[in-house]
Amino acid sequence: MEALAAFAQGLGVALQPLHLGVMVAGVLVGVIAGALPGISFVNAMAIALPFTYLMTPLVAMMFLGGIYVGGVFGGSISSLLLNIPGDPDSLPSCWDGYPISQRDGPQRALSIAITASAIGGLFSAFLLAFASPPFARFALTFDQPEFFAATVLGLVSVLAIAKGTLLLSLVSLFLGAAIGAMGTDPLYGVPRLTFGFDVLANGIEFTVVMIGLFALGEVLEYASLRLRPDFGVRQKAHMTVLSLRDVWALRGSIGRGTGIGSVIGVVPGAGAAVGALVAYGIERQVNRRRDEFGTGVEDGLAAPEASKNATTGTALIPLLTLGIPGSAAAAIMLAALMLHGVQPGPNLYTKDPGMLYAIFASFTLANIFMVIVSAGVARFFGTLMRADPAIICAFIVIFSVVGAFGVRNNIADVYLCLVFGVLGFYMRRFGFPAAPMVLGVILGPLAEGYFMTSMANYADDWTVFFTRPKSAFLMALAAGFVVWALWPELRHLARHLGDGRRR
Amino acid sequence: MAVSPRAALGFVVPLAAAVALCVLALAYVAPGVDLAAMSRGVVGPATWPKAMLLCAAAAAAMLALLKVLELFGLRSPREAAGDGDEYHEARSIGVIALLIAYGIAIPLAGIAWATPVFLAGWLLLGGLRGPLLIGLTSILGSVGVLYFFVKLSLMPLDRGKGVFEQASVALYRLLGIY
Repeated sequence: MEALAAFAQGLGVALQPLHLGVMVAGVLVGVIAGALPGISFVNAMAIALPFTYLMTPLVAMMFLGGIYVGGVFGGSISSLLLNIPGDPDSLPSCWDGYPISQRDGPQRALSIAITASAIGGLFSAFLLAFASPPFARFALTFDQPEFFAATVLGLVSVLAIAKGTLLLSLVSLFLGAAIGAMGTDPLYGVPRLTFGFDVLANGIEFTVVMIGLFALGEVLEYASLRLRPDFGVRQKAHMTVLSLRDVWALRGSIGRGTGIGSVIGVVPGAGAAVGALVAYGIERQVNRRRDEFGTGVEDGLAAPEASKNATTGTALIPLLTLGIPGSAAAAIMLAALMLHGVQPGPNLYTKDPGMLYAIFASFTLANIFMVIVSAGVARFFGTLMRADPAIICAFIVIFSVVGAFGVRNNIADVYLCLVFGVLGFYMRRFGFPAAPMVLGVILGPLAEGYFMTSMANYADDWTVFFTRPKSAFLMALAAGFVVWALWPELRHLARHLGDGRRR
Repeated sequence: MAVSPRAALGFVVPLAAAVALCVLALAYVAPGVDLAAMSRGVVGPATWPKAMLLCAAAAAAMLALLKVLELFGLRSPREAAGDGDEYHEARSIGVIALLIAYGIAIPLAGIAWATPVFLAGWLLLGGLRGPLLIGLTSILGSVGVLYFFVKLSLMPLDRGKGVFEQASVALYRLLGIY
């Protein structure tokens, strides 16, 4: 009852004209960025991040939350109209969605996608609002070793989704943590890894790293591609919400997708792409029309659509309750809070519950407004696609450069941003994932801080991480993630050894 | 799936460079500081960065070794990487050079003058050829950027040095920004 009252109060704040306007603007930016192939919504969030300096933490979260919710769905528009996913998480939408679009027209496919996404997103937003406070109360019993273990869990969970690129992700993660350690050590006051450059004494702002790696890296890659796809869309696409009868007919796939997405969203490191892929895979196993998947089965579109938006709300649970961002989008939101001196964690739930419930309510509203905004974007998608990508990329560069400058009003940040932009381009080119590096830059200093204070508080006894029950549980969970990530390699090795013995 | 020598080398060289950089950085974590005297028990100010650099170097070295084994056919390829054929080399060097030039030009010429030149250069590299479209996009785009960031957001964007600074101020006055 108390939570309901707090949510209603939050809804009142979120519905204030300024807050509502900012959230809708965020959804619009997200849907457009998500819909444009080659431009990801994470890119849009990274560019928007420095401009949130001008906002309060609440408004910043509403804006970024809007981009996040809108962006996760936006990719489906190009999946369904062009058969080109706007973002990786919209790939499964191509498999059955595009055939539906071809057979029954884009309106049908878009209507299924937006309805399933909105249902998944709304459920996830409610989970965020009503399941995260009890979890935060539990997390209030954590001490420094538990926070260190939770941060380690956040760091290693990146590896769990990096199957096939495990070592690449490790290199990226550790380099990110080393970059995060640059600058004056907060405990001892010793400048570290500055290489004689005064500009590095204050460390490298993670905002600058994010803008460089995500926004500039992506733009440089797009500008360097030999062949660029033809995005010719001639027809106008209308989108409506499905009738209740249609929703009832798809209840199984939407329900399964929503459940899967909500669970996957909580897992740090997973996110919308994993949620959509797993939901499609499971739907393909359990659906009675599983043999027809890939030919335009409506359940095959509804499940991944519901799942990917169902990850958006629950992905914020580890971020807000423990301060652990599980994805690049969540990392940007963490950065936005930290820019304003707000440290997410269980204490935030007691210090500023009003702000949190306003964020939860705004997330809920974003999933509703996503339907209206997406309908508008889909209608003018053809016009949008006529804009030359070179022009869009040029302005992304300028926004990135100005954004990096705005972080500390320092030209050195622009140089660092350009360096990370070029690095991001080559990382993409050689298949190095950039997200682990960003998480390393953000979580590395947090992990170091918790580690050092744990050692100081517990007489330099490093076994404290394994002897305290909650910390030991989190460490075991982290070890479980590592084993899961290493499982294909271990199985390969075991098979190899078995073959050798038989010979 | 065979690994082409070009793809493998394109992978090994950056990894070897990463290992070398990490090893080099290990020697310069905190030069001139008596870290041993500051350390308390097993931990000190250099513990964390050194651990991260060592782990990064070890992972990069292991990855490079695996790639070399793949190159010689002693291991089946597991982690695929593109061979770079999908990239237009000259254009990629061009856009990187333009980006760096823009970064260098900002403190010298100021954002007001560097931005239209950058925009025109980028659009040309991006394949646009219409002088009117390039000219209008560059000029109107730059004016829009100045209005949004300097006038509305009150950001103190770089005005350049010497005559460029005076020209930036004059332009801001002309546009009604100041």
